Amino acid sequence: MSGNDAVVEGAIRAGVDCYFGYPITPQNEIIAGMAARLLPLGRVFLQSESELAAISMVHGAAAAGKRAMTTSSSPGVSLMQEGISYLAGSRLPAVIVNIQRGGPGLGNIAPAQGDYFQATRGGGNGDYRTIVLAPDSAQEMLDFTFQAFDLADQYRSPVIVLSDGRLGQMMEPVELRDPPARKRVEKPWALTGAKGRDAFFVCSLRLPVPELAEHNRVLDKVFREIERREPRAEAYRTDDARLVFTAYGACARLCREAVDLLRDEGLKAGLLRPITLWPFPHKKLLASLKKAKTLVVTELSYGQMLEDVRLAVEGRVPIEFLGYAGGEAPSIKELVALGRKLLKKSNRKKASKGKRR
Amino acid sequence: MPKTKTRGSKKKSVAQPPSAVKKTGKTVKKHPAVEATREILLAGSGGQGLILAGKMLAQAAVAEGFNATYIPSYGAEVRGGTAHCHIKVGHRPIGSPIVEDATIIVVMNEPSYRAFTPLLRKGSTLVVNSSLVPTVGKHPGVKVIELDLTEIASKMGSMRSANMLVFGLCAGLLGIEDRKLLSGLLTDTLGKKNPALLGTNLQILAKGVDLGEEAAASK
Amino acid sequence: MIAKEKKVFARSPVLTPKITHYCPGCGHGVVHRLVAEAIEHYGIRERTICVAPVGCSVLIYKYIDVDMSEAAHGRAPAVATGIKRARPDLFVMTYQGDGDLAAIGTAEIIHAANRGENISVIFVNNAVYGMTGGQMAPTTILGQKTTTTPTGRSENEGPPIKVCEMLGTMDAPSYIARVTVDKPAAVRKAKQAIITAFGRQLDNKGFSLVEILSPCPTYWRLPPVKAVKRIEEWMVHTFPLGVYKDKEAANA
Ligand SMILES: Cc1ncc(C[n+]2csc(CCOP(=O)(O)OP(=O)(O)O)c2C)c(N)n1
Ligand code: SF4
Ligand SMILES: [Mg+2]
Repeated sequence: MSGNDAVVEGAIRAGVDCYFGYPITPQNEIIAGMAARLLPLGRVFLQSESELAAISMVHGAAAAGKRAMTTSSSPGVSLMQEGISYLAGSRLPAVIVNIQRGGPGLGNIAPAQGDYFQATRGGGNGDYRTIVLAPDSAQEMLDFTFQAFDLADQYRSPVIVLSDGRLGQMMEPVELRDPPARKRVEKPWALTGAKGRDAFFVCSLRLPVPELAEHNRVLDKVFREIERREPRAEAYRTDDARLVFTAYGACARLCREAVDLLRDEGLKAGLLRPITLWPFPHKKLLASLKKAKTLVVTELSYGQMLEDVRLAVEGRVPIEFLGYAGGEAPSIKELVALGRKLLKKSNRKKASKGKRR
Repeated sequence: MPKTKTRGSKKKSVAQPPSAVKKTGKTVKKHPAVEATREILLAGSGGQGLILAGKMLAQAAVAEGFNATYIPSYGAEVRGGTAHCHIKVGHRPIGSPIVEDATIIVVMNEPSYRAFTPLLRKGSTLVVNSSLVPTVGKHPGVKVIELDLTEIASKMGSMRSANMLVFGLCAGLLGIEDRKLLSGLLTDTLGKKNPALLGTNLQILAKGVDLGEEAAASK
Repeated sequence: MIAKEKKVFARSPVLTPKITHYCPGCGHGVVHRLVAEAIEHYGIRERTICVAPVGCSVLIYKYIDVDMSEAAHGRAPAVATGIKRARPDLFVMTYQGDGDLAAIGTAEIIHAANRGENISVIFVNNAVYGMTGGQMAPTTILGQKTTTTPTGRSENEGPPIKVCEMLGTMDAPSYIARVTVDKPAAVRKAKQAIITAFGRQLDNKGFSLVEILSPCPTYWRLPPVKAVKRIEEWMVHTFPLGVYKDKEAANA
């Protein structure tokens, strides 16, 4: 099953009620798959006239209390930033999947990770954050899409699944399963018609200063809670690692294979893979560096996640950075060669130090 | 006409001459399990159906108990030019779905031959569709199998089913020899779409497996 | 422009010698040629700016040898507006597909037309999204199967949008016509319409648009010959050919 198909499967399993989307490569399999699966189920599928409209359709369905989602790729997600800001401001749950491609602008349709800042910093206007989940396999495309709905409902916030063209297009075995779910939350705030209750206004608008200030405080409290409770990362063979790779998504898989190959050679390499990009797993990253002499950051951009890594590490270990763009990606060989070089260097240092003493 | 277009380039903060990769690569003994991950690349022109053949090959590998990945070329790339797909088959987790050191390359036309033969390594197998790749250069250390795949499929009743010949051939080369499984997969995939051609397709697939096994046994 | 020797056919010098990437039987190639010939007709290659769309013809800059700008998907009329307002002496055109013009770019085309913006728009309607692999377009015909309307377009999506009819109701546009390229006679008419449209801009008469019904054999899932036939059998019923607005004729 391809990663894109896995997104469809995850959404259906999570009980998505409404899907709205606009075609764009390399995520077209999702929109086609949603049409094929949702229409026969009598659930809502609609191709919108643009991404601008798609995200606002999601806004509407979410306001009505339904599980709503959209999917797109980088240029389309740029257009959605307005709507995502409004979702965040209105505290509406929604799931947005970004199958990233090369940019800026039209760029190309090759895999890339250039939208990290846009996703993790809140790409629209105003002071907000969105939870960002970064799958690294088709299985996780299914699992995280599923879990994104629970997170969105729990925190009343848009949740972004940040993937890329390689993960979307690649096929590998996937277990068709419901991943661990959270308790479905009630949505007493949903617009249902003001029968027997006061009328609601779902909005981000708060004209009086004290009102917006209070609203921002509430949002901030939610964001702090998310930062406390939701950081996720995978630590792979890091316990005794002298060299730790840090990468997410498609790049993390490459590093994992490189780690295995280095370990075959008796070299102590490990991988710390952030799963939530926001909240960034600072503590987990630090914990993985206990024995590390070097940290290698690699991503399909010229250094976006790198900034979060630097903030987390605060100069405790030297950082080597490998950046790629335009559809290029590191080869396993390159990663292994670099790991070997760095590890041998640190071994030599250790050895020579020993001699001097 | 001035065009402001620049190609993406690789930037690395760590200086690393390409030769260094090779040199160190030689001195290190490869883990046997690593060698077991096999890398297959199928390439041809848009209409030759290799994308489907590759997908079925990956599915067959998974059904045989292997781990496998498959990634096609996609999007506008598919119009004109070459269409190709990468398949990896092994027992370990597969990090990159992209072929770096090919175990098997099948090229169905000239442009693909030129584009992908640089991925051949000592011990690789190269399958060449001889009618559409007229001249095959020297590839030392590579097992080169020249077959007129288009012609074989055409003689058996369906030129367009050369992709099923490729599917069978690769399965044979990889030692995925459960013929029931292979033909079941074909029936599931194409049976409904083109029931009239199913019989022919099954025969072509079987022929492919024969050719693959033969090639695997030969030196 | 009367040549001494009457050449029956020559490749327009406004076209580059490159071979296009379009699928066999695609209408974009023919329309490119007509656009090039119309530019040649007025001798304006050196002062033409074309704004490319996002769609299969995003690569038009490879084939028509004039200055080109990219625009974000659907935004070509706005980019063209910027160029024209900055340099009214230049000839500014957009080349857009149906998804580009009538879905994501609806706002831009309506407002450019309504301003009577002095630009020329070539609108290639192939009733489908070609570039992204055959999804429903705003012009997809009722009943037509696409990857996002697996059982055929229906009331659920609404009927197709008729751009010429819609823009034809506006006061400002100078010339709006729908043509096709399914037969040699139709191609000649199409060229004439494009020449008329370009002429309006050159005479400072304001906004002009030519919609061209064009085959997409790949995503109509038909062999090229059948796809061309489909235009007459199927497309023109929804999209009747003709001139939908002609201010000059009305003024005459
Ligand atoms: C913002 C944005 N959304 C989506 C896309 C993907 N996209 C590229 S071309 C296209 C549609 C093209 O269809 P059309 O305009 O009809 O042109 P055709 O290919 O049929 O000639 C889409 C949706 C994009 N490039 N940018
Ligand atoms: S997909 Fe359709 S519109 Fe695009 S090049 Fe092919 S035939 Fe033309
Ligand atoms: Mg179109």
